[in-house]
Amino acid sequence: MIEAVMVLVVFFFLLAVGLMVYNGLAGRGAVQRSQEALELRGLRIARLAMTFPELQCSVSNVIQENCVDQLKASAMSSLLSSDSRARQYYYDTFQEARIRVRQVYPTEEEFVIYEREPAEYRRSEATYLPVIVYDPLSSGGTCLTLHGACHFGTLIVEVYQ
Amino acid sequence: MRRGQAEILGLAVVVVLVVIGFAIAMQFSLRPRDNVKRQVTDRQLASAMLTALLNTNLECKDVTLAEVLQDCASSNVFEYCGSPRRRACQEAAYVTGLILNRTLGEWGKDYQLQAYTKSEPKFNHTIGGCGLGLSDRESEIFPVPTARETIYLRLDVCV
Repeated sequence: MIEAVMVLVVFFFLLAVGLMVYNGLAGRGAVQRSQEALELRGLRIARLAMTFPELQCSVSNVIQENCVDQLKASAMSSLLSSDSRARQYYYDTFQEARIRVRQVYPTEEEFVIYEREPAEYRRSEATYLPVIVYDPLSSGGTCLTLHGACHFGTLIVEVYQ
Repeated sequence: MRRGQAEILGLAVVVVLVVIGFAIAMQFSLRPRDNVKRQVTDRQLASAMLTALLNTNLECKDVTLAEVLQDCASSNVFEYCGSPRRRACQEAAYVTGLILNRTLGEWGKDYQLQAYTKSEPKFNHTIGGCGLGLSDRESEIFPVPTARETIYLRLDVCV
């Protein structure tokens, strides 16, 4: 009788420990998947932003890859900071994110292209994409096949969850 | 052996088997999985970084870093920016170091950049350093041809 009770006690103890371990591992897996989804979203938005004609470097419809036109970026930044309809238009694409172009060489400058930060969020994830920042107003130079100068910059996309 | 003792022995065997099973399962579960997405992202980061670096113009002259590297690989006689003016290899090392510091360095990523020809290394920058295994880094190598020999720019982003 006592042996049978002991067997049951040990069995339920092992069952409880197994359920606790399984719960812990499953929870950790869910957090990891959620983090990966957030990173992928940031990467998708960064890739998408680089395809926008509003930012791309181009001459006669010939597009330069991984290049952001400084004048276009500045204009887009001004437009989105002053026009709520424009912000709403891009919200459908970017949703809650912060997109900025940061030039690091030769001088350090930053343009905030789009910004929509939620009131509350649990975490944020930043994606960095090295780009050429094309300055068309620079005199006497060439950047790729364009008249102007190529500076080094990064496109930074922050997404929130 | 009495019946009760046999039952306890059986129970002990079951407990031992379950503990061994848990230990094996925990070992597999806690091992970090290969993050394929991170590997792809870091490889693209290395590639995009080198592409942008090579096409960047110097602040004081209308030449790209690729052209400076070509000079570094061949004659290394022209002078570029700075006071005193830097020669090609020095200028390339200075600009790449500055940019990598302001990008990968600030993002908390360890890396190693090497510029070399078949005959000699030219310069390198290392922050942190990657492990010895091939899976510890994502590498990209860009060759820049010159009339004399090819100079290679290699960037390893540690994962």
